[in-house]
This record gives sequence, C-alpha cells and structure tokens, in this order.
Amino acid sequence: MKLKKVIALLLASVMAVSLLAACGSSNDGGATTPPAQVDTSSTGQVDTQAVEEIQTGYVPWDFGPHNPVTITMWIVTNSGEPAADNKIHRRIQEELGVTLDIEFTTTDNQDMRISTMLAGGQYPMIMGTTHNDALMTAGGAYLRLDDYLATGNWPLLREHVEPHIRKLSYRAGEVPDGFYQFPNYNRWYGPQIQFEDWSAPAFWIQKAVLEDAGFPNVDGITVDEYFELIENYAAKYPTIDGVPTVGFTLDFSEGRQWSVTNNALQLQGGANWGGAFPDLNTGVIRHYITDDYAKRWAQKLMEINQKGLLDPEAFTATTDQFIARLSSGAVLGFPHQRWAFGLAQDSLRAEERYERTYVPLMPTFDGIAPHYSTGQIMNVHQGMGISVDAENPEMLLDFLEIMMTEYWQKLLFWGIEGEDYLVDADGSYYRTQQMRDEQYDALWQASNQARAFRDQLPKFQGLWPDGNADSAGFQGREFFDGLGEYDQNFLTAYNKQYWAQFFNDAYEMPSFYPIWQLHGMLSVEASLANQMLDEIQYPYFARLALATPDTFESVWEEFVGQVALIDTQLYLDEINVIVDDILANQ
Amino acid sequence: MKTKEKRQKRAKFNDEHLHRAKPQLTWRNIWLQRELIIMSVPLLLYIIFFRYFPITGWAMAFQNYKPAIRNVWDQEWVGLTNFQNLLNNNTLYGQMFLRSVRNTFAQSLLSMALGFVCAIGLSLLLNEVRNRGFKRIIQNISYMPHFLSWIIATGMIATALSLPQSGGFINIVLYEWLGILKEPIQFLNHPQYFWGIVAGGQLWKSLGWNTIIYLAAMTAIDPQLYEAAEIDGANRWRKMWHITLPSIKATIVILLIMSTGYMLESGFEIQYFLGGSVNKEMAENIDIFVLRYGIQVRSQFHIGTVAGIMKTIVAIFFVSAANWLAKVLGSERLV
Repeated sequence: MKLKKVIALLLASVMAVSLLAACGSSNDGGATTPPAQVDTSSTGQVDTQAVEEIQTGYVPWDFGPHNPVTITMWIVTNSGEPAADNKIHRRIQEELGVTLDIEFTTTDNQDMRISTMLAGGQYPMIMGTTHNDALMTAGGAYLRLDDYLATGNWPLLREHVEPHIRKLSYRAGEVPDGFYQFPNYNRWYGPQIQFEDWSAPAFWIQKAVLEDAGFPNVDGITVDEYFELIENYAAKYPTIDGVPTVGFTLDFSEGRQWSVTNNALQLQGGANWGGAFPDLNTGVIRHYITDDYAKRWAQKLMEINQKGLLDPEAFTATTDQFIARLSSGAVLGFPHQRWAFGLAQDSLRAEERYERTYVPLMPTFDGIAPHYSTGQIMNVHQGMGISVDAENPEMLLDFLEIMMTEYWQKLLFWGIEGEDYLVDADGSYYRTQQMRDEQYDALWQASNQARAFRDQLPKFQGLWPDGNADSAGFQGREFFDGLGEYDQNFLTAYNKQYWAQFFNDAYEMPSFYPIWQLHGMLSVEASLANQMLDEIQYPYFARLALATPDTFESVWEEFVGQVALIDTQLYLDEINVIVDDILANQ
Repeated sequence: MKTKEKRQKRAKFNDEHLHRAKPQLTWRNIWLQRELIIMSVPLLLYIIFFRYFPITGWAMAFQNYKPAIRNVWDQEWVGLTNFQNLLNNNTLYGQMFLRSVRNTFAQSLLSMALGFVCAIGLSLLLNEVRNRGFKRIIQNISYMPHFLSWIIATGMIATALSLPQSGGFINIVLYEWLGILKEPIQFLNHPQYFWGIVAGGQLWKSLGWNTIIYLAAMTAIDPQLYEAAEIDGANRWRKMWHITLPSIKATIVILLIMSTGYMLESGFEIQYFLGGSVNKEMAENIDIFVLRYGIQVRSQFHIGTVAGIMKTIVAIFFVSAANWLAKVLGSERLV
C-alpha cells in the first residue's frame, strides 16, 4: 500500500512538473526591451567600433572568444550540412566567439516547416529561407527592420538593401509595408558579372550531343531542331557507358512541376514570369496555361514520347531520382534552371566526364526571338531575417554586419589564403588545379566550406576594391582556367568565353517582374484560385504528354473544360491591382 | 488494533455500498476510495491537458485564422463559413475535399476488408501447420515488413511498381516471366491503380503482425473440442469452420469495432510518398488534404481544423454505430 502511494505521488508530481514546463515554454508575445548587453570593462576590440560609438552613441556587441554567444538559426538550403569539424564554422567560433546552432531544412520541405513553425510560434534567432511567397512575413515571424537600419548603426547592411528598399518593402497591405528579409542573391555592387549560368531557365543539352553533331549553330534554335539533335544522338548511341540512353527527361516532382509547364512561356518568347505574363502584343496580364503554345508544348512532348525519347518515368520520379538520372550521364536533355541540378553537374565534373555535363540552349517555336534571360533578378522573398522574438536583435544585426565585411566575405566565398586560393604578383586570386577539384568534392565541402550558411547570408556580389570578384566563379581568368580542357575547347568551338553567352542579352524588365514573386501578396482566395489552376494543370499535363495522337485532342478538350471552372479572373484582377500599385509607387 | 478495526469497518461498508449493483457517489464513498482516486488523478490530468485542452484549438475552425495575430482568441470570427466552403460541391476547393473524403473511405474500406480476410485466413492456415519450424519461419518472414519504417516501405513499393529497367519486379514477373501483360505498366502513373496499391501495400506491411492476435486467440481454444469433433468424424475444414472460427468470433468482432474507429485513418505515408501530380485524384485522402491545404498552402490552419473536426465527428459516429450493431447481434461490446 505504501509503495503504491509513493508511486502515485511520484507520478502526480512528474505530471504536474511536465505540465508546468509545457505551459511555461509558451510564448509571451509582446515586445521585449533588449537588456544592456555590453560589458564595457572588457578589452575593446577594433578601432571601427570606437569610431562608430562616437558617431552614433551605439556600442556594438563585443564579439570575441572572451565573450562566447550562441546564435540559433534555421536555414533552408540544398547545400550539404557542414561537418562537425568545419574549418569556417570553427573560425567564426574562434575569432568572434559565435557558435552557430543551425537547423537545416531542404528546399522541398520548406513550406511545411514554415507552417509548423508558424503554428508553434517559436522561432530561432535568425531564419534564412529560399523563395517562400512571403509566408514568413505574412505569418509575422520576421522582425520589421526599418527602424533599426535607419539608425545607421549597421552601414553595410543598410547599403545592401537601400537601393532596392522600395521593392523589398512592398507588401500590398497584408502586413505593414517594411523591410523584413535581407535578399541573399543578386544584390550587385556594380555591374553584373555573367560568367556562371545561374539564373535563367533553359533547355539543357549534353555537350557530347553538340560535339557529335559538329558544333552546329544554336543561336535561334527551334524546338524541332533541339529534339532532332537529341533524336539523332540517341539513335547513334543507344547506350552511354553501359546505361541505356534517355533522350529527354523532366523534373515533375512535387513542387517542381513548373519547370516543365512554364516552358510554354519561354517557347513563345516570354521571360521567366511565372504562371501569368503581360501579353507581348497587348501588355495585358494573362495566363498561358491553355493557349496555343501550351498546347504545342504538350503535343511536342507527346510526339517525343511516341518516338520513345521521353523518359518513361519522367512524371513519377522524385527530385532525388531526377538528379540521380542526370548524374548517370545518360540523359541527353531536359528543361530546368541551373540551381536545381547543380549537384548532378558537380558530380559529373568530379568524375571528369565533362562531355556529359550540360550546356543551356534557348529553343523557341517557329524561331521567335528568345527571351529566356533577364539578367540576374533579385528575389525579394528569400534570404535571412530576424525573429520577432529575438531578445537581442541588435546583436544579431551586429553579427550579420560583421559577416558583410570584406574579410569575412572573402573567407566565406574564397576560403583561407594559402589553403583554398593563392594570390599572384598582381594581387589577383587564383586556385591550383587541386584546389579547384576539391571545390566539387562534397566531402571536402562539408569540412572546408560554410556552404549552407553562406547560401542564405546577405552577400557582396561584384568586384572588391582590389579587383577580385566575390567568388571564383565570377573571376574572369580563374573561371576560364578552372573550366578544364574539354570545356575550354567547347567554348572556343562556339567562339564564346562563358556559358551565359549561350543566352540572349538581358532586356530591361519592368519593375513588377517577375509575377511569381508577387504571389505572396495575393488574398487567400486568389492564391487558392491560382493553386487550383496548378492542381488541374499538372495531372492533365502528364496525361497529355502520355496520350497518343488519337486521344490527345479529347484530353486537351477535357483539360480546357476543367480550367474554365476556375475563377482565374480573380487572380488576374488582383495581380493587375498589385502591378498598378507598384507602377504608381516606383 | 486501530487499523484492524478500520479494515473491518471498511469491509463492512464495501459490502453494503460498493458491491451493490449501483454504487453511489457520496463523500463517504470518495473518502474510502481516496487512494484509488489519488492514483487516477495524474492520468486524468494527462487526459484533460493533452487530450481535451487542445480541443480549444477547434476555435480556429470558426475563424479566419491568421498566424501573424499570435493569439487564438484575437482572431476574426466567421461562424460556419469555413464548413460551408469545404462542403460546397460547386467550388473546386469543396470538390477536392469531397474527393479526399471519397478516397479516404475507399482506401480504408479496401485495406480493412483485405486486411481482415487475409489476416484471418493466414492465421487459420498457420494454426493448421504442424511443422513448428516451418511455421516459425513463415511467421517471422511475414512479421518483417512490420518493422520497416514507412519511408523505407514506400521506397520498396515504388521500386516494385516501377518499370523493369528500374527494378520493378511486379512488371518483371507479369510481363517478362509470365507474359500476362502486353507491355509493362507504370502503376504509379495510372490513378486507377492507386487504391489497390494502398490496400496491397498496407496488407504486405501489416499482414503478419495482424495474425498474432488471432493466433493467440486460437491457442486458447479447448483441445477437447477438436477431439470431440474428430470423434464425430469432422475433417480439417469442418473443424476450422465449426470450432476455430466460432471460437475466435469474439476477437474478430472486437477488432472490427476497434478498426471502425480508424475507418478514416486510411494511412498517411503511403499516400504522401507515392502520390504525385499524376495520381493525386485517387491518392489524396483527408490527412493529405489537411496537410496540403491546411498547412502547406498559405498556412490556412482553420481549413485544416475544419477538416479535422469533420473527421472526428464521423469517426465517433462510426464507433458508436459499430458498437450498437455488436450489441444488437448479441456479441461482445467494447464500450
């Protein structure tokens, strides 16, 4: 009896304690005043700190090994996680006393993680996402930073956002207009450098296909010509290194279907607008989901499927399977954006199968002038922001400010001098072949680069005052030397110096470009209407591509009938209002 | 001396009050059972805080919930609008929800029917096996998939269903070996196969495990019954039909009642990992709907809540109905 009593009491108390703990951790909302956090008696750090202090009276956080601090972070990235002994993370810890406690999410799981985070209402101090349709801002997770930056205490961060502040702050009324999230890519300091080929959607083709065809002229290539190249090569080489040749594949995995359906726009000479675009003739914003070009694109896929060129599992493969397929080197072509399959390209390079890597082409129907490239456009809904619940946002801004300095940017993007790059007599940075090879080695990356962290960090892009570019990929000589013999000869055969020259020259885009970046501002009803459009389109697109010439028309009719049920006008009207608003304000 | 007196007193009281058909709730009664009551308090608290208290979140179903306003009670109230939107068959949104309801029922009925028949069948067969070693081997093999996590199981199912060149053994068997198919089928590309895939996948994963409880029930059957039947000239089939099955009837009914409570749980992982844009119309069940439209798309927590509430109400209805049915049939009841 006594024992039972004791157990019962114990149980009861454990319950009570755990309940208290559960309640205690709930959020207390409200604004918190930052506690005085600077220990003035500690040894002062750098001169600039003292200068700033005199100017603004603001004393930045005293970073250093004597003052250790942990910064919690959530980062969405496709880059691998750092190893425990990562040298850059260790450097941050040793020099600044900052331990980065990072939770990683892959991009395909981002939206779900955001929602569970919003539902839980608990945020790490710094959150860096890829494009998220403003879910984080609309959900009230990010701190509005305008007043902080206005103090002038963080000049580098302010310089980073100031030229684009209107675009970055536009919120269409859902939350107060204001600046919440530091853009992580394509904030250029000076003119854009075009050596890498990161931004534009393209129809990629294996270099071996073009080489085998005798480096045909690919400027103004048509869709038919593109597939003809693939067809000829596939007929000539039924297997590649023992693997059956796949003529053309797609990334139709969940959340990536646009990489297939949006091509209908590029094929008719449109830029990467998203699901709707301003008509080239009338300027009115419209959908292209059921227009003639969309039909021809689906029909084209149906044709190549009939010829056996389309990967039979193109519509069921996951992102990983898609990447694995490309990495096998047996896929001749596919449409996508460069960032989405970087892993495959890197692994082919690491295996020195340069002829199996891909080069971007811009096919269109009937030789319409292509408009794939728009230059590198900043995405205003991605990058790092600071949690509304951060107890000490000033300290976090101080940390980001330090990361924006030339010293840390070079450490993050070039590495450590002598280990990761060398400096020649003119002060120009370069790498030895061994250093270059290491850059493509995933294991080496995990220990020697803070890839995931720097991916979301606000970053300097352009030329530093010493003439070096922000990273090796944008450093002219280093880029070309690093290509390897095969790629150098390939480019020379086309009389080009870098990949972006396979694209059109960038046009000046209107300030509301691209429309897919405006989706976060839509009302729930309008975004649902748009969502429904995708829901209808994706399965039908697969059915159309897998149809036969006899059934294609009837499936198309059925598809058009289904689309007609959706209130697409609601979406277009709202987009038009937002566009007018942007045009009036900028 | 004193404790002995006390004990006698309580025994007398128990005889008078507690062991009557209907014990009465009186202070005295409570005092006498205080140890039991105190011991049940933690569990009661657990139920209240972790099972009933979260129900307050159902308030979201009647709101236009915005996560930026961080308090549930400061939200805009919209009455039954969310329910009406979801049950409206004229909007695509409503159609998708109703479609997910249909898929849930179809998938779970199919899985349940298949699961029940096969589990009972396999346990009857195993019960008849006299070679212990062989029986053990079969049992172990059939348990094994139960211990795989769903993510691995779905990976295996996806591979099994793919084309021969990707290792799809179902196509290899049906097309290359037996020649039943004229050409290999990409099962995941055709929505019409999806319900079957769900039922088959769940059967494969849980069949062996589900036989355990039936086999246990069968061991409790009095061997004298079999002996008597044998004397009466019953063969194996007759013994199965007239002795084994009736003896485990109670177990079957109880399990059936319990599983009706899970009628709307047609699974999540298999639909989530194997459902893609192509077969979505047959794959998406209520849970996936909640995830996609309640959580993923624009953080519409209120929509997810409404779907969840409706699921709960229907589940309660099913359990009560099954329980009532069992009572009518004169069988064992669960509650």
